[in-house]
Amino acid sequence: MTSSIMTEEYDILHVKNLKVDFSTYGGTVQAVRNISFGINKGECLALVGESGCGKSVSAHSILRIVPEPPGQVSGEILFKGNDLTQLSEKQMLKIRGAEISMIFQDPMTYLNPTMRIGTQVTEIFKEHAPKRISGTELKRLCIDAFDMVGITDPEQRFRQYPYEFSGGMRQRALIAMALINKPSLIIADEPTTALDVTIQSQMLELMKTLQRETKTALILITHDLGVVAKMAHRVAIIYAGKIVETAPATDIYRNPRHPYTIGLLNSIPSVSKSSKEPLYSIKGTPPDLFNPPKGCGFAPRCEFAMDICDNYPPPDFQIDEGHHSACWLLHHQAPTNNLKTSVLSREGINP
Amino acid sequence: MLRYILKRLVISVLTVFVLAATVFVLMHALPGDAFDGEKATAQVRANLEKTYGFDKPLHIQFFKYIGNLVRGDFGISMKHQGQRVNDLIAVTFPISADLGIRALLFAIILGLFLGVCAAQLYRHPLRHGVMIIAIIGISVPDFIMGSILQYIFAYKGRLFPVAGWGEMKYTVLPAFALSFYTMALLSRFMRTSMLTVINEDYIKTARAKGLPRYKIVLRHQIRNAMLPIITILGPIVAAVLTGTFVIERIFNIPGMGKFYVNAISDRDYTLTLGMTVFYGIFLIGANFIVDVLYSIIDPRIRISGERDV
Amino acid sequence: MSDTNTCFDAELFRKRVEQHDSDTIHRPSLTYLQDATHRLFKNRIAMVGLLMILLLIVLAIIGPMVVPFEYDALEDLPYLTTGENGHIFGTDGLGRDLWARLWMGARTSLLIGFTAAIVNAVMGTFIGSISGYFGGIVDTVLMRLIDVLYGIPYIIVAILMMVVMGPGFDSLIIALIIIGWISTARLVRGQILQLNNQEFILAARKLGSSHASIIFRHMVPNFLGLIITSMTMAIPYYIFAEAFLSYIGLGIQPPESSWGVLAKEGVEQFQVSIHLIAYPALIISIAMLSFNLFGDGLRDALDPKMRQ
Repeated sequence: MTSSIMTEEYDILHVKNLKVDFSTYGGTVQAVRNISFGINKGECLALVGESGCGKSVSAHSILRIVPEPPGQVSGEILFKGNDLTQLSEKQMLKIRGAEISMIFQDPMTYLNPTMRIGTQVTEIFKEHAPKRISGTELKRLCIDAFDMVGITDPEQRFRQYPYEFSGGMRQRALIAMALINKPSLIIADEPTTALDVTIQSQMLELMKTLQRETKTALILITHDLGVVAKMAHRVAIIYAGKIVETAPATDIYRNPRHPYTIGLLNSIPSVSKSSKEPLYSIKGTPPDLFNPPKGCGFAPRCEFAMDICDNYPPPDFQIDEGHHSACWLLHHQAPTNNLKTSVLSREGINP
Repeated sequence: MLRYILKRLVISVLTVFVLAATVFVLMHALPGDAFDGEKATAQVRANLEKTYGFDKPLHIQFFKYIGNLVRGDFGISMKHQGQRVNDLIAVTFPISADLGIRALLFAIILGLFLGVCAAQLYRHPLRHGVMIIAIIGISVPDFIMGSILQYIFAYKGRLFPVAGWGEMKYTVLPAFALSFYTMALLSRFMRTSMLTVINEDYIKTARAKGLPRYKIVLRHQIRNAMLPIITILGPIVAAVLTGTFVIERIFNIPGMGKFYVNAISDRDYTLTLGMTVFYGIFLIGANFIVDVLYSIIDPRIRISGERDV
Repeated sequence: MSDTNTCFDAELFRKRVEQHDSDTIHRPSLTYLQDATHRLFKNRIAMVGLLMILLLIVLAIIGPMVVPFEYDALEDLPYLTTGENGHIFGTDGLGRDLWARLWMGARTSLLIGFTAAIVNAVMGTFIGSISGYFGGIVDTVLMRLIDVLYGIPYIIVAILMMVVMGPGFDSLIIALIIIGWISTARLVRGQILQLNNQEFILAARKLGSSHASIIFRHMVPNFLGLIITSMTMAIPYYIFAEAFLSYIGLGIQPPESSWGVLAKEGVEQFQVSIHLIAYPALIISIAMLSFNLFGDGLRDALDPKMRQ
């Protein structure tokens, strides 16, 4: 394959040909069907897709916390040059929480309700500390971390339980937990989905500032293109277990080249659209991953589908520097199409 | 939290009241010949007269009765030559309590431990072994289990004395027999609880932190898995208590249970009812303590003050 | 995966004509009940339990008829052992055939177990539904009552009742049901409260269905599985309660037979003849075990979280 995603160099993480299957009672679910992406130091990469498209599973696979009896992970996960899939559990323990940390989605359920927040946050530091640390030292570290993420009154908060925190504060605590060991890579799995809309932008601001300051690579998983616009340097759109388009953030909005991406963009309710127009939504439903489509995963729902789309999975076509898309419409044999004009004009975007 | 405790206290007191009232009513519902002739000596009848005043109107009798109860007077035994029920309780209860506490300790420690192990062996072929023992434990009634254990380990095996009470060696077999049902129950419960907890999200967080499995089990899983167990502590105490009736009989232990069963078969009504009220109060009190304990331990209740039952 | 520069048949780049039926679901989908039944029957341990239960019932019915001895007749020499003189399980201290007594006792014990469980389930459902459905004063009063009654230990109440009413089958049944309905009532009330606010209930009300119809045709089927499971798990509990009460002399009295009576007699005489306790113990344990295994399987099958 000459797709450049494979040959590009990434200094922090390079995922190659990731495949994750789950064997269930009803058969085998192909949750992730060959995903490749990479991230560099200081970058923020957004993985965008609907629920069930495989983005969370991909993220969990990086840290190898996918439960491996039902799950089966294959492919290469190169972290700073080392293939994580080849490491033993003991070696992975050193990486989790120290080199790579994760921020989860729902701060209520992802915190242990019977343990004080301070204990939970310092636990991650204690686990990876090179030598014994005193209790006061730990407390001080935790309070500093609380300060950094904007938790007010950190001295008091240290001893409190999760239910005494508000949703936003809990998420800040989770962020503190992820940062305290100064990892090279943070994976944030839909960090704002469970929060109130008003808190969401605060949280995003916070994460953006921290990320830019600490120059930590951040993989941001989300289904919300609005979040992407604020935070990401680069975007990868996932559909039905495969990446359909990768591009720098600005290019995704200015020059989307995959029908699914365009569909997503069109689905954003816009203030500028006249209220008489119905809200656009992509027709159909995501495919059944027990029996994924033979060709392009999006073809069944795609307005522009051609015969080849149903029968052959499309390779990655390079569009620009760092921008590629897996769509047969980009093949030189494809008829010139009005993909851009007919669809984009809805948004008033000029191609 | 205080509001919750107060509410439980009120209900508990009310329950005791209802219980006492029920016993009182039942006392008067006994067949007419209950207190005649050989069944009660003159002394006993005199005391009953004094305590209840059979010729006085019912509600006065009731107040006297309640008054007596509050003062800790449970009446006089019919069979044991007019001995006061309280005195009999005072002598026999400590023995039963001793037996019961040992059994509870066995049950809780072994039961929880087995439950945790069974949960950890989730995919191991041996996992069925623990659960088989557990389900047998809750199926075989305690009088049968007790007899079997007595037969195997004492009668035939000669490892322990067959019956009696005294030093340590007398206590082991009965306590173990008494604990069996509860131990089995707790191990099943704990296993289920552990397996539920392991799917909780915060365990994923713990894994993502790089914690090795044993630390996750010890620090996160066990603590949370134990919470629901407190809810069945009440019934567990009740089970152990009723177990003493049977175990004391089998092992000939001079505890309150044995006395109670004898009182029943002797048709010693005053003793039976008196002890019944005592047991009732004891269990209601135990339930109350468990409720309070639960509200203390679960931090979520401490603040909210209410429990969604 | 093809190379981006490969050439294909030009035909392939024609726009697709027919609309794809992409909504076909490839996995056969099962209703909740079908899924539950399927899982239950696949559970071998539970099926063994069910088989044992059926076997016990059959034996209870025909057992006593198999031997020419009456269960209460002082037939023969006492303490005969297995197989002697035609007694399959031997005889007890009074020369009565143990096999006949065992299966007559089975009739009594199983009958008590089933009756108590069913009556309590029905009563509990009824009272719980009324309380949860109508709410208001009715609910508050009933709940306070239940709170208080629930606190009185079950065995204590049973003992009290038996002491006063005297031993025997009828009083035993009454004693077992006088408080037994409470846990079902609470369960049902909780379910009804949850369902009360659901839309389909509001719809039914608007359509003018009677209260009874709403409760029993629309609400109850939703948690019927739960009730049946709790009833199944209650049966061994009541069998045990009967055995326990009879054992301490308050339940069924000899010469009538029940498992508790046999256990009592067996324990008292085990030093003389072990089979008097061995056979009843075995049968009782198997019975309880079977109900527990089946009940476990039932509960697992109906648990929506374990749906596959």
